[in-house]
Amino acid sequence: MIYSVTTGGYAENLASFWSALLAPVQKLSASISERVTASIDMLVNANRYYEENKQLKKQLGEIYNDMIDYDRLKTENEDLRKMLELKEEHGELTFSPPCSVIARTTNDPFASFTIDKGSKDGIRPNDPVIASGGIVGMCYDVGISTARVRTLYSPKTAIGVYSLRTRTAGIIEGDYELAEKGLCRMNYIDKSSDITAGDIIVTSGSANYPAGQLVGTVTETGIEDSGLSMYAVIMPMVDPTTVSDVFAVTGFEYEALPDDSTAAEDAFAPSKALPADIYDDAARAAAADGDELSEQP
Amino acid sequence: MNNKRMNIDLKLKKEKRNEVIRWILYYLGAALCYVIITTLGRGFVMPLLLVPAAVFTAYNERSTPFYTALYGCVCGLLLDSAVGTLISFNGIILGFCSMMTSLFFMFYLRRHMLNFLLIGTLVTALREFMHYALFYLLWGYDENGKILLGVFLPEFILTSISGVVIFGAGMLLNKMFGAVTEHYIEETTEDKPPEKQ
Repeated sequence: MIYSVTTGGYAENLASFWSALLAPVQKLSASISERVTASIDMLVNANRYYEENKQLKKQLGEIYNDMIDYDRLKTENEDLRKMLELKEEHGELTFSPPCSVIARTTNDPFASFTIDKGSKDGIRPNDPVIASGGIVGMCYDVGISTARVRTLYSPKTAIGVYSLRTRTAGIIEGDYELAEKGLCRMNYIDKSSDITAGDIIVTSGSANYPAGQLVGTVTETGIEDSGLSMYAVIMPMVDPTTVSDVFAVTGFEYEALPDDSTAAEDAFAPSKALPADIYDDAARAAAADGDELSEQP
Repeated sequence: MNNKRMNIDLKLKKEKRNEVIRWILYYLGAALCYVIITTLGRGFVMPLLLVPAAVFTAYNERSTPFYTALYGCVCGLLLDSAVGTLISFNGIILGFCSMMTSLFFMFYLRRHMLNFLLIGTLVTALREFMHYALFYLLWGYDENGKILLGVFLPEFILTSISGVVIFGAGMLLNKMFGAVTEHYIEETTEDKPPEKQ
């Protein structure tokens, strides 16, 4: 007996055999037991779990809301930072306070929109509107606290521009078909110019627009149907349909382009005739006949 | 006699209350239409819900043409703000059309959905034509034809169709806050045959 108690004797082998035999049964039993316990627990503590679940869902909702707020604030912060940089970069320009887009015109093919600043903030009709990426359009229909903005897509917008690389001048105008694709058109380009896709287009400066403001890049060029001048399709740097924060330029000094450039002055420069070299032969002939070309072509 | 008089007073009071509620809901509906057309129409053509809303109110409240004209004017001003036209352009058109619609339904037309849709379509067509003519055609843009087909025609079709939705909503409103109407059955008294003497 002493031997059996101290060494286990033959009982050890028996126990090991027995436990091996019982193991699957024990597993089954444990699994059943766990399920039953869980079911009972579920029944007994259902209310508690329900409350906990509700609370956790609420917390999750709050966290999601915080995340959304965080994203919104982050984007807003980035936009405002860009605006600040823009303000510092263009010290010569007088800006309105930052404007937010508060409404977009319904069913407008040219994507005009309304900003939350108006005449009380110093905005006047025809003031250019720019965002951190470049020029967006111009103000019209200015109210006391709101103003409508006509974008580059509109055929009513006409801005004197030139290509930075080739110094080729032209006029940016909107076009319905191109507006649908988010593009606009640079017209009245000298046929002999070598403007190509990828060229950067900036404003040439006029009484309405400050010089050197980024407009967009050339995506395509071609010859007008008349065969007398070229046109270029421009992708604006700023998409007016998605822009949310802008500035109106309420004051700037008008500077003409340097004499050595071939770039033209804006068609709308006051009391200044458009240089003849950007016009086609027909226009020249008309000018020779005494027709005035001082206004919009 | 007194009871009868009291019942009539109560009904008149209820009718007045319903009328006030209906007008409040018309204005709230106009605000809702404005919000819908200014927020949902990004990148695609939206029906101008304010036009059928103004016409429906004129159709429904035909006995008060001046109120409907005022309502049409408000709808028009909201529309001016939404579509970017000169302020009062749509206000004048819708104000005038609402009053005319009320008068038409008061004197000439039966109250029927098809009549409402017909008048709604005519008002929409007038508005679309004026908008197109004065804001695009007059200025001679190169692509006026494309703008007409790509923007104004879908806008006209969608606005006309949206009249059905507005009519449905209006009928629901009528069901809840319609005027208390009395149905009188006129009793006919048959002429008694002359007594034979």
